[in-house]
Amino acid sequence: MRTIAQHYADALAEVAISENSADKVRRELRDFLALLGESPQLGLLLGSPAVSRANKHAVAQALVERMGASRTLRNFLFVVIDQRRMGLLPEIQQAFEAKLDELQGVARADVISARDLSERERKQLMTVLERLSGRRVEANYELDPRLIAGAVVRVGSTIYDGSVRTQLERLRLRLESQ
Amino acid sequence: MKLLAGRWSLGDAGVRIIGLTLFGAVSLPALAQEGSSDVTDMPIGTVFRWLNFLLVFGVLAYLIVKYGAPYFKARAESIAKSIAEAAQTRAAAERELQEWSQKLSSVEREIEEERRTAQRESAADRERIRALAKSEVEKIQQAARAEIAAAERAGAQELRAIAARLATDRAGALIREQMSAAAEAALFGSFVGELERTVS
Repeated sequence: MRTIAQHYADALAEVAISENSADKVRRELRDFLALLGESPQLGLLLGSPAVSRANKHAVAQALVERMGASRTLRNFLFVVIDQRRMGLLPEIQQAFEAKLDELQGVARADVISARDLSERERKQLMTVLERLSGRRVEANYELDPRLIAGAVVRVGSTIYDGSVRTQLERLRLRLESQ
Repeated sequence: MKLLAGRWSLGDAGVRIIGLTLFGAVSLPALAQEGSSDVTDMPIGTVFRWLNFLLVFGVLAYLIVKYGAPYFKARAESIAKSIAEAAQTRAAAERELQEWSQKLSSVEREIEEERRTAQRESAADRERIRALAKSEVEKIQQAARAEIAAAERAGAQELRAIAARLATDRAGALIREQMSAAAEAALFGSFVGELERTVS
């Protein structure tokens, strides 16, 4: 069942792709949400029914201009403000990125490793992951020394765990059950 | 006399007094003449004496028959009635006594029966309580054995868990200490190789 946020996200994704500015709009929406995160009062103002629509538009216009963002984002923000859906903006952003990934054939991967991976290792891993998912993979890399060695990769809802910590945990469970 | 007896209701004492008065009135003149031997010695005197005697006797007999018979009859009836009542009372008392005796004997039998029943029930209760206590003891022993066995299993499991955790913690520490960049790269390469095998 599609949520309200998905409807907004799908509409924005279609517009962004049709204007060939999907990555730009993706980045702009991320920056805008980061701005709202830094200033919660700004989000309250844009979502408040006590503030007139014209004033909200003026604020959004000013922010977009200061960010140097596209008209696509400005118009989208106007629609969200007019429909009083500013509270759904984080959810819309997630659904928008997922929709863009789907439309662009991109798979997001979270790669957690015990140490920094070399470029060769990253490329090697990406090649395998793209073959596994059948999509172009964009990875987000994180460090977690608790893994001891190896790495944990999550693509969508699938997790590939090659960490020493997990192997030791399996060993511990096997020893306990004996 | 008949009038007196009929009109006035004289008691027995009154009738006796009147009878004695008449007797005296008739007999006293004769006694008064006893001193003169001339008449009494004559046959006519003897006749009058007998007549006098018969008269007195008749009056006495009449009075006795008239008033004594009913009196004695009523007396006899009263006595007979009293005797009958006494007999009835006695019979009733004897019946009651017999009933009470029967009841008493029945009560004694009931008491004895109750005593025997109580003894039987008491014995049965003792046996039941003994069996129940025995069963409870067995249950408690069984539960205790099960609890001990469970505690043993839990203890053993806990020991295994502790040993496994210590072993893996120690293994992890050793791996960290001895892990070189080359070994780590080899591990990562092995992981990627497994992923490749998954693809193929």
